[in-house]
Amino acid sequence: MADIDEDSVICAPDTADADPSDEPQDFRFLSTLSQSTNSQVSLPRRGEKDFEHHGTLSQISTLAASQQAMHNALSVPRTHNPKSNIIGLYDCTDGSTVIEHPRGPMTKTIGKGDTQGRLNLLPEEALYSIERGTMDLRWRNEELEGIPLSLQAAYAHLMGCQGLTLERYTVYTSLKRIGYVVQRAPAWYEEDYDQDFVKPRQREQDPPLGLFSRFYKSLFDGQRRDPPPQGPLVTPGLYRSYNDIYRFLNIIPSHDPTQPTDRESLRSSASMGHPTAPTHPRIRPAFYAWKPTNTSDFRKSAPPPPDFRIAVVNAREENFPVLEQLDDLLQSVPYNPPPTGSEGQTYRRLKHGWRNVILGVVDQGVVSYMKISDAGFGKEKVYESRASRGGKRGGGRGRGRGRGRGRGRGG
Amino acid sequence: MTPNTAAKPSIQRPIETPLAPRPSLGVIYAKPLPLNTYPLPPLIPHNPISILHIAFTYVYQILVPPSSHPNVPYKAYWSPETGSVHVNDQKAIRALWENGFFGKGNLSRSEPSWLDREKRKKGLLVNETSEEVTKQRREERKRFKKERARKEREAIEEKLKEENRSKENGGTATPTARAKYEGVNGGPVQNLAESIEALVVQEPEDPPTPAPILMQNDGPTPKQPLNGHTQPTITNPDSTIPSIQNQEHLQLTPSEAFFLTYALGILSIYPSAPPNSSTPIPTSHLLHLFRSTSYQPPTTSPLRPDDPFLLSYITYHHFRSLGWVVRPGLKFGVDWLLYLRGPVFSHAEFAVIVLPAYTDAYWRETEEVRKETGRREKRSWWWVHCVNRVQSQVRKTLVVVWVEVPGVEEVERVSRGGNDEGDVDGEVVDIGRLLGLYKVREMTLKRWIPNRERD
Repeated sequence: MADIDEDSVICAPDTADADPSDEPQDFRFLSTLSQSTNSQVSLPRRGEKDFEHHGTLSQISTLAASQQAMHNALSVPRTHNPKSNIIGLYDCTDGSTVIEHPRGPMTKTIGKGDTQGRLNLLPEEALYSIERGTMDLRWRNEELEGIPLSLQAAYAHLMGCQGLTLERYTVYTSLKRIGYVVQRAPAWYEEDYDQDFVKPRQREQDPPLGLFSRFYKSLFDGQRRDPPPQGPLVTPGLYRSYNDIYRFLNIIPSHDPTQPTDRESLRSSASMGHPTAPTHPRIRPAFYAWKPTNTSDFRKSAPPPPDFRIAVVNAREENFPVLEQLDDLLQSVPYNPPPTGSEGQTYRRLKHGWRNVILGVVDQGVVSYMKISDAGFGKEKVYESRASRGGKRGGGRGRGRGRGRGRGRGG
Repeated sequence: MTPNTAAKPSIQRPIETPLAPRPSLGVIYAKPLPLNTYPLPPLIPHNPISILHIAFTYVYQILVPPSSHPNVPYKAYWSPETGSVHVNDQKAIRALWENGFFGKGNLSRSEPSWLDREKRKKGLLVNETSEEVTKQRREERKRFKKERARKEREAIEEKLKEENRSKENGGTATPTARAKYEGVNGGPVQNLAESIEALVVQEPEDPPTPAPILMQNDGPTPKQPLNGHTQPTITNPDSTIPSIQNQEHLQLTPSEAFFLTYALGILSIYPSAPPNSSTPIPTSHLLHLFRSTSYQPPTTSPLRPDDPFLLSYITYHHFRSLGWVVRPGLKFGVDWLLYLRGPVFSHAEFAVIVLPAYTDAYWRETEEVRKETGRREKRSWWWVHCVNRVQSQVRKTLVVVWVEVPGVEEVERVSRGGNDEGDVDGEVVDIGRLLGLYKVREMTLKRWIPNRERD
């Protein structure tokens, strides 16, 4: 029972726009879950919400049914089979936890096996297993050998051990509980921040120009001149197209996300292009996470590239990162350009961006995740797509696409 | 009720008859900038005349070159009281609004439509303005919600009655557990929906109730002027035409005005209202003016490289130069909104917030400077969440635009233009070089919800 979300694949309903955890739960779905025992369970769609008591019997019975379902779900006896009882041994000298006889589905995604068939757990993995009731932790050291640790004792010993902070642990458990496979990222310790986890990358070559386009380009380049110091950038004259005018307007340098970063081009191997004296605390992804749907063929010894890279930030101690921090962070994640075939879909490409990372902002146990992507607006020349599309009406979104009750967007 | 129905056709007829077919939005707002371009006519390979046409146009345009700009720049004047730039000339207002959506009517929501609305009030015949469309939509929505609430109420009452009836008949008033579950999984909800639909079908003749609005119009309420003064003017609509004078002007934010002046060169800004104006403000002085008035109160001390006007203008110019239609985003708690083609076509997809990035070594040099820089760049996570939540509520994507600010010495060197004579009162000699010192980087920010990314 304890591992239900890891064992079974539950397809979450993708209908609601809002965060499902924000909504009040209708617990009647639980009854359908416990009725069927096969692994492929889909959550039923939620019905209409009632906001107040209106005295009909059907409403009362709905409420009663919901409460009964909740009660049934909670009253299922949860037993720990002594056969599947896993015992971890904790060594307080180095903070390591070892399972002598690993069993069960959790061994597929956590821990690290050794040659004697034992499983070594990281502090967060050990704590999480204890919290879920899958593992008992006992002392390993000589004089205390075999004596169990309480949950409090485990927290006291494991928290702060091997770089685990409460914020990191909060993020770890919040992802584990909803079924993600989570592992430590390689840059867990600060001394590993500058290790090279990003493959070197060359500047992408533009496809060679044809004779005609080269000729055309030379014509255009000849036109280019320094703008008058006091403006206007577009002097009165004869222009064939708005593209020409926009090219004159383009005077403000902007970041080019397709260029290899200092780190990727290994311009200076000494500092790897990183701030030698960073003015702000540096941020790195602390965890890699894989979607629950891909867990069946997940191999922890050779994990596939992660679906998400998650950095952990303490909201009380740190402010919103400044550009230096974000640049440093984004340089440490791989180049991830908009998918091929999305050309022309301006919104989609800009929202996808060229690199992205997730920040888990923890405020005293509450996690808020933010995805930050390098948008690269400079790579999407809106005027060009507009010119090629001509007078056709596009990009229009219907009015009144509000969702729920009277919600739309203005502007 | 009866006078209402009687008066209705007489109001509507004059409005409807002379309605000229409105040109499509794509035609009115075809130009992305208030400049003209002269593309060569299309080449049609199997039609030799098209080649002649191209040749003729080409030669003609060499002999008599047409200009991208209007002969005389549009006139505008600086209003120090409002911190904005005003345009009074109707032709200029239309040109600036229709070609690139610059500015806003000071008496309108965005498009200067005050005169149209006034004319419609007087019963003169003009197309609907966007304000009216919005108003109508809001009223419709309100009516729909009322109707929906009523139907839900009625459905519940119906249900109650039905249950009472079955109770009286001695039937199974309390459903069995099994029936409960069945009923729960869709049954009553579907019934409810059906009964609502049935109610809709039953009452199609329900008038859309304009009555309450008319009732209020016995006294002159400023909120409902649409129907208030219709009747007296209908009798002699022609006599009122000359009496309406356009009281509205276009107001441009400093960034918009500076873009039109410095980048496009189609606007000349005078220091005061039309009768007093003599010569337009030179561009370099304009930059200084906008920069110093971007502080409240306007500053007289030396200008910082990160003053609010420069950061906001650099962002504005950057997105304009990529072809976006950029409009102020105050209503959404951001600095700018980005429209793909313009507000009349689609909603803004991106909301831009501008943040300074002090990447230059100057900003960390001494302890004092470092402290001040830290104060200026600090944004709490709570602030970021506030801004982001608003954007997701209105279904926009938040874009954080970092403007990398150069050091003070560098800016001063460029401002002086290499010699010492330029910097008399902070006026910049080469604006292009100044703007080129800054660097822009955009990042999108979005709340990530693990529950929704599972598959």
